Amino acid sequence: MFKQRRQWWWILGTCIALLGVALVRLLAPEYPPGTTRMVVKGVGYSLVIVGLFTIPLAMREDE
Amino acid sequence: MLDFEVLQLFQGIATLVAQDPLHAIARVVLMLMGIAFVYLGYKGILEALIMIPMGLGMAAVNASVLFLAPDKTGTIFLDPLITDPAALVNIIQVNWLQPIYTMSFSNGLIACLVFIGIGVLCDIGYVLARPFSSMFIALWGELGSVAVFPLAIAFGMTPQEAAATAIVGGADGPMVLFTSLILSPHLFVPIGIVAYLYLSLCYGLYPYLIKVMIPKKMAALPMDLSKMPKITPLQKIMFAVIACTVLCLLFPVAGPLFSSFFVGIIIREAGVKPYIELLETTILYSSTFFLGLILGVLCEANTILDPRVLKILVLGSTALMISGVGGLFGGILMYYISGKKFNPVVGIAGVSCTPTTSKVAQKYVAKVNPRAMIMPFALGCNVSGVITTAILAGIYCALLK
Repeated sequence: MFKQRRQWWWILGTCIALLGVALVRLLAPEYPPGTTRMVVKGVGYSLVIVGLFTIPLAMREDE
Repeated sequence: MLDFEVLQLFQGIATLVAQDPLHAIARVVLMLMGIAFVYLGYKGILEALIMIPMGLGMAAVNASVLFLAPDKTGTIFLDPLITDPAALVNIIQVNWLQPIYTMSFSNGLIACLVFIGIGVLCDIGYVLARPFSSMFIALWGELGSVAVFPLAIAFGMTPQEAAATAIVGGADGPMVLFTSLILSPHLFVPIGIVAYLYLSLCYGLYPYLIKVMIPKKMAALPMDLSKMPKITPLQKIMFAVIACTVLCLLFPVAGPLFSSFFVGIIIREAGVKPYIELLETTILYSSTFFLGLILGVLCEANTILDPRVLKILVLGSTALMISGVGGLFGGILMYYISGKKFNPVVGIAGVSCTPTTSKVAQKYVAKVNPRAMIMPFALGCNVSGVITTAILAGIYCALLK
């Protein structure tokens, strides 16, 4: 499953998704309600989606 | 001689006579609708698994109204509005479906049990094989859940009520129940009824929507199954664990749903046969049966005559229709993005009514071109649809709770 070049997609995807979680759950609440908080949350949610999309790239090399 | 009145013997009829005409007419209409649902379920026009118990429940509960006190009518099925603990303990001993409703329905447990069963049925490999197209279409399939939110607010609903109603557009029954329980428990009964009524109508209405939106030439397009990459069970398990952890961290309020769904997937891929059999047969079917029966029993005239139900009916149907249009539009976009190699009918499977919309898509395509097989792609979109609906429900719950 974890061939050398593929494992990086798994690690990268997971890290990006967790970074997104950190932005939404840890960083965004530190800002007062307003545009900045919304933007940080938006970026966080987007990173989670990007992260979860990155993981399947490890499997696409099987094609 | 005995002072005997025939109507006292047949209290179901006596209450019809004693009630105001509107309630009496509503009861008769609901009884007839219940009988019709059983018939349509039997014929396969509507989803039999839900519609047969639901139809019987509707007919039975509206026929079984009796005098609980000289001036009070009701049934001994269940009371969804009871909250006082002492009264609840008393009524659990009388109403036969009350224990199931109180212990598994009103706390969202049944939604999670159905979700575990759906997880066991779903092959996440289809999503991982075609992540972009699956998620792209699934996101378009959420159009109704997003678009109806402002519409519901314009109809005078609070943001919480609007979100609980809009999520009907995701066409995912357990998710609708869960969201309405979290965000607007007072609307849980009408939203649940409307959601499941419409989910069954997906069978009937979506083929016409496909017919209107997709030209036959595009619908007949065969898709190449040989290019689907092979995903190993370990890869699926790893992805499920990571996705579940990330989504639970992000939306703890929807954690029970995410963990139910992904534990089902993991058990399937781990090949734990005794659990697979237990979950995909006993748990899933018993939950679905009681879900249908209780929803039918909740379709009492008093509930249906609530003026808010009409609003939810209109908004729910609009949400599902917009989601269907969105999914098909996503399918058409994907057709062009892929260089005309993607059958746009798959788009309807972005609406996450698993596996109904996949079956609808495959059935329609097979009618146009019997050699075209799109089921694996449709199932990928379906599973993605479940995930995107759960994410959207999580966003609504996190922002509005």
